Amino acid sequence: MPLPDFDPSLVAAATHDSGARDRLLSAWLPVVLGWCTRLAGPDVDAEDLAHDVCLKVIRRLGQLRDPVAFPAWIYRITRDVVRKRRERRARWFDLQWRLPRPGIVPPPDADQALGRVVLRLLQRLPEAQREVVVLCLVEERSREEAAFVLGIPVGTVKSRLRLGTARFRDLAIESGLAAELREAAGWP
Amino acid sequence: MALNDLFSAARAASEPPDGATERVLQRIRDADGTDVERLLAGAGEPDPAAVRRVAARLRASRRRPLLLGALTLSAAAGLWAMLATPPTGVAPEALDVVLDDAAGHARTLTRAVEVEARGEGRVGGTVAEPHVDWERGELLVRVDPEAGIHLVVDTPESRVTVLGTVFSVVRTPLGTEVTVERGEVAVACRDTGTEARLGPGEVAACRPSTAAGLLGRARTLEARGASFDEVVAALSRALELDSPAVVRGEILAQQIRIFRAAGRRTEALLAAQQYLDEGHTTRRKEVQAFVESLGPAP
Repeated sequence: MPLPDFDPSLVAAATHDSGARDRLLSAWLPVVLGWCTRLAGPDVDAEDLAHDVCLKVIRRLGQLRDPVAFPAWIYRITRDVVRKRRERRARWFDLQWRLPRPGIVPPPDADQALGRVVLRLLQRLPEAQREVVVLCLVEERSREEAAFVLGIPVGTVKSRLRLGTARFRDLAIESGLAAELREAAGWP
Repeated sequence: MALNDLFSAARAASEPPDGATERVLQRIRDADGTDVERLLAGAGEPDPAAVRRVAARLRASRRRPLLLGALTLSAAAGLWAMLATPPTGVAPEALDVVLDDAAGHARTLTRAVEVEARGEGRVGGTVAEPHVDWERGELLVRVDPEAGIHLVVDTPESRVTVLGTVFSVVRTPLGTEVTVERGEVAVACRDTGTEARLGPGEVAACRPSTAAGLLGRARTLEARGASFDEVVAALSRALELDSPAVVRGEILAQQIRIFRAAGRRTEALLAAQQYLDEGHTTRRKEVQAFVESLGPAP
């Protein structure tokens, strides 16, 4: 999904106009929802996380000095919300206590199941590598676009992508996900 | 299967489901005015009369640069005092907020208290002493440690008292679990009457304190694959408590079933005899049939 086209003046208007705020959030929510699932894993309630992101966006929009930087800014907020949720989940001693939200039904088909397995494997990457793998390989964004969203140089995106891809390949092979990858990588 | 195929599958599996965007937007639109509108409106203005009085004193003074700074600080302090403390003689602002959201959303109860509720409960008390009755689900509470807020969260199993911290309370059929992120809370469990002080990263769990609650706990434990001993312990504890006959009968019936399933025939038979002796009727036929199936005593 490409980043939404947006008018920086819409960002400025959204600080005091609820209609502009709705239009801005409507345009960005599909991207944010995707980021929440891809960065936090398929077992979280992405709508819950996205709602938290939106509330933080509303609270802090007045602090954004340069509306052109909005994509990178909203990405950072999403990443922080995801990070805090992951930290909180890690502290529960019994994850069975987290009851599933009514209405979420496990996916019925094999492709969806495979996709969820891959999303879970991505959670085992270090955060910095996971971000670039999600943006460049899952979402198929260009290196330049990923660098803009993440606020880092293109060279850093490329090096993290190289490391992240290699690590993910190893994880996929270890998990038995792809025998062909094992052969291609020269594993016994 | 190539890596690209795996990432394509991940992309497809993580596309937002239909209606997700609209659902999230609707939650924001439905948010209480204390949440979104207050954020957009910003803080109140200082009392203009107070600012004029201070400004008049400044004009009379030769030490203007220093006192202009003092004016700024005074106005800021006055604004803070006005917002944080009610005027003398006025009753503290009462709270009456219903928290009822299956999905949960963050909300600012007062300037010093934020909650993220995913369940059901009610907030009463006052701005300085909020009191939450939490019925079901997960509640995360953040209290500004500098604001001197005395907050209490009650569930049927526990009372959590806190002064400036971040903690969560989750109530499920298994009981109430309290986890502290920052600061310190005191948790009192009603079933045992004990109290514990929790620091950051610590967790306390309070079991249900009623027979019906313990029956619910046993059922949930079993559904989640807990050990036989845990399930039986919950049922045994439930039988020690006073309860209406229909609840007690159901507890005994569950005991019979659990023991039978585990092959513990003697204990199942004892529970069945107790069920019949106590005159319970709802499952009498099943229980009698079970007893008869065991044949005459040797």
